[in-house]
Amino acid sequence: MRYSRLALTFVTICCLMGSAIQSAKADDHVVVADRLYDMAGSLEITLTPTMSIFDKYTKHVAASVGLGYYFNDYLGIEAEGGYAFISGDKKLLDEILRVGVDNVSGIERLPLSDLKHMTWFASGSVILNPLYGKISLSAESDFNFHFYLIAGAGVAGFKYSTLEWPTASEFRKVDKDAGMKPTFHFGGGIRIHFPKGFSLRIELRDQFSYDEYDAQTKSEGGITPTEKKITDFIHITTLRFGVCYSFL
Amino acid sequence: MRAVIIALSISLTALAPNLAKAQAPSPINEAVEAYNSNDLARAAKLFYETKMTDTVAANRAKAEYYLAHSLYKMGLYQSALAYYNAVFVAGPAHPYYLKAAEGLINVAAALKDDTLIPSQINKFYNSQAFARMDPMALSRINFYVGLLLYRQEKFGESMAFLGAVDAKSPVFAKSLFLQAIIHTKMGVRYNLARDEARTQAEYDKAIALFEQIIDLSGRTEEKAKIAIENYDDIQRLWQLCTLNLARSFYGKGDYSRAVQYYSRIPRFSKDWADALFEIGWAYYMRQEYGKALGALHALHSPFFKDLFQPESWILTATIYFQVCLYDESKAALNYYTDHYEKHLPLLKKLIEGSLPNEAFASLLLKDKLDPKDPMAQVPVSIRKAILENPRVENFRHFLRSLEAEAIAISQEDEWKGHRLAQELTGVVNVQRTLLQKTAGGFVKANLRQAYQTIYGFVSHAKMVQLEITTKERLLVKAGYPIKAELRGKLAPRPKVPDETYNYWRFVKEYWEDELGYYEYTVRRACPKTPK
Amino acid sequence: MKTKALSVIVAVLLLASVASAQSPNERIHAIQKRDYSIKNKLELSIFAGPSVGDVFTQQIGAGLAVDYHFDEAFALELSWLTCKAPFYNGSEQTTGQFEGDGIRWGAMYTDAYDEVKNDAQLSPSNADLAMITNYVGMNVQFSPLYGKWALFNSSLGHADFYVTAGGGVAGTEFRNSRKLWQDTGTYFVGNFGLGFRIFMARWFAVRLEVRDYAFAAKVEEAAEAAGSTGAVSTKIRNTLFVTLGLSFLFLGEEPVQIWSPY
Repeated sequence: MRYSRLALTFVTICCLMGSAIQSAKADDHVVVADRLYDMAGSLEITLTPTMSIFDKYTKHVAASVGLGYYFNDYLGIEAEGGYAFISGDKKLLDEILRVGVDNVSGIERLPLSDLKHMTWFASGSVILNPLYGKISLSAESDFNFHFYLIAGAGVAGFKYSTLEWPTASEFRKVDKDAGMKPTFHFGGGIRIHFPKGFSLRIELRDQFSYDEYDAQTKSEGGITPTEKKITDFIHITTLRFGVCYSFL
Repeated sequence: MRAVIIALSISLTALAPNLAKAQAPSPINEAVEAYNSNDLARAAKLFYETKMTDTVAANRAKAEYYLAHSLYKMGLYQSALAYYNAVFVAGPAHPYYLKAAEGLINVAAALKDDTLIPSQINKFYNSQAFARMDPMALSRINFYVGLLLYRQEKFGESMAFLGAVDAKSPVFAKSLFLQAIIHTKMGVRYNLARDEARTQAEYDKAIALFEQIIDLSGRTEEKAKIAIENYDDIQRLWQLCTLNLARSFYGKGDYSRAVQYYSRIPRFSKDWADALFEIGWAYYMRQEYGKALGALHALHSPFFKDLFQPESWILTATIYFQVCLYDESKAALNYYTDHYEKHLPLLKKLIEGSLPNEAFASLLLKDKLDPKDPMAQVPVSIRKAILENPRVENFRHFLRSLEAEAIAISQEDEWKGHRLAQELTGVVNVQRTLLQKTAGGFVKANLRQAYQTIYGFVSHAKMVQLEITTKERLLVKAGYPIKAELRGKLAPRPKVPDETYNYWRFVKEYWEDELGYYEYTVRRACPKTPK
Repeated sequence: MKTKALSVIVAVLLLASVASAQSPNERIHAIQKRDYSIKNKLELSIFAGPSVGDVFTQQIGAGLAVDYHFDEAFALELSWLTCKAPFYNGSEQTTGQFEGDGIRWGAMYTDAYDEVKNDAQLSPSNADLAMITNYVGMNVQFSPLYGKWALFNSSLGHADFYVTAGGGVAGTEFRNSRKLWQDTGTYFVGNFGLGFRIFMARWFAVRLEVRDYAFAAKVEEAAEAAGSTGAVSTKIRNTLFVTLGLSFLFLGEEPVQIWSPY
């Protein structure tokens, strides 16, 4: 999973560097004059359906509302709040639990990282738009876009599944509140512009939070669970589709 | 310009009697020794003393020339000019006459002066004596004199001088170019006189000469590199030849070839704006109105902000008029009124007012104008147009070198308190005053030209406006709707030649890489049959 | 034709109100020769990158691809992706089980696997652990989009965007409970991806791609393996690679060079 994040960061840097190297020019000319879509001074509201991808054991489907302001075409800020309508475990966790039920019998808190799923979040971000471009569809028509990078921090509420054991070979998952944690996020995406102030943001974002978790474990052949502290960063990588409307 | 030389001569001769009184032994040998050991400041001082005090005429003559030459080698070109000139005006009787002529040409090159010194040489041109001169130096002299005569529109005499330039001379390509330009100008004259045969003949001669200059490149990269080393400014000339070939074909009425050559002008190069405007005309003549408007669209983009192109708006209005889009035509005329015609009262006030010529000089000699300076009122586009004239850089270079020279003279320890320093300071000051006058005159002439250009197109604009009114009246009379969108269909989008082309619709924003590739499609709004 | 129709629909959506803001009597177009045409070009690429998103396995792949671009939109690609030295499995410890981490680059289990295995005493299905060793296949690439952008409005970049789909064969293996590599068979592997190439020069591009390789893994742990139950597990395995490549473009249309003295 760490490689994937590295890859994303690497990709972003490569894209920016590539473009810069390709046609770096010394003078202070502009490539695009009288831009059709300029973010400067824009105050916009964004409604964003979100789904998590690359989670280990959890899944999220959320929606958020954001309010952003752009100081100029390159730099903006955004405040956002969201709620996860679907926030829980993936099938994979149930699968491996069922297969090895005897081995985890009696364990209440599984000794696995990234078990926690987010239920709501509120955050603030800084947005950088280094690229403004347009894309031609089969040399017939075209649309404009901004490529942006986003980073920020906030808070989020988490829950996780604990196990209850009615019998030694039968478990029941119970959601337990993991409290509110500070979160950080970074990501990037493209904003496709539509007329009359509308735009669509397609974004990949990694939201992470530090977590200390008192889990339980059993040694091979052991019967009684022992306590184990797990410290980890919970990563939730989300694919977001934001529908934006700019007032100004 | 001649006044400058006369002024310099007077200032030099006025000083002579006082110094001649001192009858000291000649310091010529000491001066030569200093000169040979490259102690140029001391050499100049001693040559000066020799010139003023030596009783032997040959020594004085020698000292006079070497004083000039020492100053030249010190980079004090204006000072050198004064003494070279004194030798040169003495005529062939002076033993250093030819050398002084060469010196003058070298100073002209160093000062980028293509007016003052050439006119002086022309005044004292002695073909018999010059025949003994080094052919390369003579070629340069002939070129400068040819250039001067060309500016005075003495085309016949100019051609004679330019034709005498040696083919191996660095100014050979320039002389060919000037000859071609003269043929083009003659073509225009014959065209105005409706002498078709002579018009064609002159343009053909011009085309042959432009091609000859391009042929100097051998049309291969390797040979071109050799040509670049051998001829002055030939890269620039090659581009100008391409532009002028386009103009010549346009003049001949061969618009297709004109378009071909205009298209070869590299995008974003110095001549591109001219090429865009003129290709607009060529397309117009070919009735390719969409392409004509496309070329003008690039010219009117923010990338050419503050470009002085009044005629382009008249052309735009004319094209819209031709396709019966009268509202668009009127919009172009309004733009002309708002952005050009409105400057006429100010320009008139400036050129017809009581401002002395020197007051105009600040426009081109100063980088930043004082808001109180009358030149600060000159509209940006006109100021830019004046500043883009290649002669402006020469003026500025001249002024910079004069200022540097004044400082160098005042800081030369060898000359502290010496009469030479005073004399040279006087020379530089006189020249600076005269330069300001000349530069001011140049600015004033350009402002007058801008005024005449704008004023000239006002009547064109009125004519188009009148025609529009007439046509609109006829439309109404014939029962056609006045609104163009109700009169015809929008022409289809131009075809993308193949998939290796990209199509981008233009909506408000100007992408740098799309400039020059614009094309319009317009509504076919002209009624086909009278109702 | 379908592409064109799709473009027209999208264009209509995008342009609907922009167009209405223009003069009704004229349209302005820029018809511009592509700076970076790929028609008839042969593209040779080297690429490398990690797999992402898999819970228990982590691979790093590298490879070569040769693309022939029939036109600006379609290309046929032959590619080889490798995560292990081909034709050599390492030293055989027992029948069909090999040692040799050195010849496998980036083929590993994640921390999550260790947690599940060691801390929770759980076992992911063996099919979840099968990893591609070498893949050879053919793809069809479709590039309907060509883009350009201004970086901080001061320099211009160009790219084309593509989707790719195809299939091929791949060797697979997994590391069994004895920590030995065990061949899990050769499969037909289908793949689907998308990416873009940023043109740095007419002959050189940087290519970024996300491609999912899918196969129906059927894994039976060798009977000799400690704790082996000999059970067979089956699963559709998806391995998503994010790769960065360098492409060298040959042949195709050379820009018309009218040599000019300036």
